[in-house]
Amino acid sequence: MLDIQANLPVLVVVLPLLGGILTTFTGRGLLPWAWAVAVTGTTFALTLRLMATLLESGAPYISYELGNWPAWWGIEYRVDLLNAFILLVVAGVGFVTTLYARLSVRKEIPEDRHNFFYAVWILAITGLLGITVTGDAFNVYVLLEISSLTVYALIAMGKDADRRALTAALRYLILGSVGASFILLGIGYLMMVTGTLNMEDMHNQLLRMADLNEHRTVLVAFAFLVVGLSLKMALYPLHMWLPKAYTYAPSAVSALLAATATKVGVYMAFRFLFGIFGVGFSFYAMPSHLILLAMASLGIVFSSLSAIRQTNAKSLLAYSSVGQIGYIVAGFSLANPNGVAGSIVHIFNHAVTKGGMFMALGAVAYRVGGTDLRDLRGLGKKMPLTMAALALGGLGLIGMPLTAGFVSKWYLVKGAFDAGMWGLAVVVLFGSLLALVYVWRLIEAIYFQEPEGRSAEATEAPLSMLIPIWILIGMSLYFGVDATFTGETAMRAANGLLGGAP
Amino acid sequence: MSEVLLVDSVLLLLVTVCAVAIIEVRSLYAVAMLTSVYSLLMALVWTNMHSMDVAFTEAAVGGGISTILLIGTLVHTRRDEKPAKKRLHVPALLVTILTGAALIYGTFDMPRFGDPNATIHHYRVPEMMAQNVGFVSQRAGKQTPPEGFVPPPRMVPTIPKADPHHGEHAEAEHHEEGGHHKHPADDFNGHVPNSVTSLLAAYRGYDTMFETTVIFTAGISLILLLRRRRDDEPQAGETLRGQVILRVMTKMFIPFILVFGFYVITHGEIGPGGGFQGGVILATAFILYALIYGRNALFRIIQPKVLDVLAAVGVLLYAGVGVACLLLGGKFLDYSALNTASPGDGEALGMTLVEYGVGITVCTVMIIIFNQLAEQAEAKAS
Repeated sequence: MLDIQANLPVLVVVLPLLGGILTTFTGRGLLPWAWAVAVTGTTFALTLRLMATLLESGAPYISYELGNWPAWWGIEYRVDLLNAFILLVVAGVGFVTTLYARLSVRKEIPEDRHNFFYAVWILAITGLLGITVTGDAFNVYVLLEISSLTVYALIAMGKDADRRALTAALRYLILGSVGASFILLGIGYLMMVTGTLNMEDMHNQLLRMADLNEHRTVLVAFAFLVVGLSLKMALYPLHMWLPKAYTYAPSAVSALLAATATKVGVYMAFRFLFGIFGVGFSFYAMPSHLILLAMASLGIVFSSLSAIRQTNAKSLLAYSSVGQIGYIVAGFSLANPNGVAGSIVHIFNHAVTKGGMFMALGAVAYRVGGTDLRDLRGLGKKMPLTMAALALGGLGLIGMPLTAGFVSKWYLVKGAFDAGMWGLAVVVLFGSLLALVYVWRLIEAIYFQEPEGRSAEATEAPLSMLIPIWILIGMSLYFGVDATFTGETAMRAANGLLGGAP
Repeated sequence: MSEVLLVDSVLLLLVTVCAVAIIEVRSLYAVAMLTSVYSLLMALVWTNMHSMDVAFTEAAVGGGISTILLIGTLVHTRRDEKPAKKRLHVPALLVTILTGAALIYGTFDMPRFGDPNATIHHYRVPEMMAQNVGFVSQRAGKQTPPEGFVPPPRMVPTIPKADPHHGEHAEAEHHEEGGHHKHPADDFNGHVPNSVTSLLAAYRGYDTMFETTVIFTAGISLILLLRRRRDDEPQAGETLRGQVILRVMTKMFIPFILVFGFYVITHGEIGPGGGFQGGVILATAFILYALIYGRNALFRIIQPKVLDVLAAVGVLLYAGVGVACLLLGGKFLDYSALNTASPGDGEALGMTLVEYGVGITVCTVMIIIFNQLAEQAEAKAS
């Protein structure tokens, strides 16, 4: 019979794959959603068990060879602390957003295609999980295709609420495809010079090259991968696709994407920069870390300034996401333990915070009918629990003590000091100030204005939305107070990355 | 200058001309046809490189089905491109030039085409070409080598810089040692002479499963975005009643197209082709029928609902083979678990099954995409 324990790494991906395909047969009504909850819930349970197995075994990683072909020739799944952690984040947020999605999707997506919607939804999560679990460079690309294609379709499904969702999706499709092509070219070049696609094998092959730092094909592969990955993770100034995509996507989709999609992009950057190219090549052979730091700093400042100017709360959060990616990229570009750990811990912290906030805005869209700042006026009285969650999330974005956002920034500032980069610490603090301004715009509308127009008739969000919102926001608070698990995991994963674990 | 290089140069020149034409031509109809020409030229380039499977895919997918789908899309848009207001976008031009320069710069240290000293010919790949990965690694559960089997000596993995003097006689040397037809004692018991198929369906079968999922995802995404409400009446397709020659010739052609499609799927392990190409060929038979006899005639043969189900069935067959391997105690997609008495035969069986899975999904998704485009066009017309 099926040995679940021995096959955990592959089941984490194959279960949602089969579940996603079978969703097309669930017909109309409640069944597609219930099925999606069951599938994502089981997947989350599997990732929990995978993490537990890894921690219990005490081994640096769990390897799984697909088709029982030796890893060097076939495809290997390799789970170490870093991807076990990211898998938890993706599967966990995927599960909570699916729980949340029922009413939101019923309102925003035509009833007759809920089965296809949830099928694409689950396949998107499958793609993200597949990218995260693999130890094979080309397998990353194949799963990237799945996660990208599904996300384009999911964003375009906002078309019934606002036709601009279609242009937003098309824009992302074009830019995303350009990014994916760069990534594919980079992987192809690496395959050409190393003869292998296994990440560890690739890394060892690159180390064997005496002329690695001057090898022009490797340099171009590196450049292409950095550009392609920057597009995928929406690093400033290659973030142009993100704000509109998040703004016009259906509410549940915005929450899922904001919490997971760009984070997996960052994870890919970890694997390629630290794992395959190695710290020495990626950060010391060339001033590439300075370029990344510059882009990240510009991103923090300029996207926060853009966020301040937005009149739509979803756009505001979307621009804020670009800024948050800046923090994450700045952290790992420092290439020291505190910086990288800050980066990893912020992937989790920002996922729960922003996921929760987008879900709260989804509840506003459900009750009020729009997410303009005008629609938020006076909702502090009308939807107190939803708005409290939104406000607490906002405090997390600023990085107030006792929120998870503070923990990440703490690591980040420590990392900046370790590297002797005072400037970056200033940028981080300045970014928090700017965040204070844009979060204040939300707070002002919510608590200091009187309800008017549509918002006057609003009532508190239904319980089926409130519970998932508060699960994520509650986690962002809990892990702001007690960051032992997230902090230690991130620190150990960071040391693994800096030690050159592919 | 070798003949190969000469032919390549001419082909690549034509490809470039074609690409420039695609950018310059205003008529989108002409653009659709030019992309088809582009793909056929590329298919010739691949043929010249002896990569027949790639050439076959390019011809079937790029030259064939995507042209049909592009023209299908044109029904929804204008037939001519809007004249651009601004002819030159300087930042875009700079980015393009920079990318092009990087591409060229990257080639400087690439091994020359066909260089026998290139890493790719020494490291990891030879075992896959010789199909003795399982032998070399002495993997338990896989095909066991016969008595006295000696794995071919492997060179020390080193990465030499590209040597401009190498590469002239690469082809000849390669063919001598790479004769796949000589080793019945391999990972697949000699069932799979085409090493491309063994790479795609076995060694990297997991990737191929997800490539099939990509096709499936494309199909259901299109249904999600474009399908009209179920409550609406299905639209009647237009039929070409007067066109006797077309109607008769179509009926004569379709059986041959179908047989060829099934042949390509089934015999992918021997010759070029496999599930992807065969699936596309099968789909063209159905699309041709719908074009000439109307979509209602197609629906009498195969209902849209059946298509939806079949699209899923193909991927489920592929993943199902993987799960069957799990249930039989092997790892995911370890086909050798299907036949423990003769693992090599198990591998071959698994590969044939998954190729059919790919074929079913690709064929039905292509018909679904065509269908959605046509449905939209008819809705617009009425």
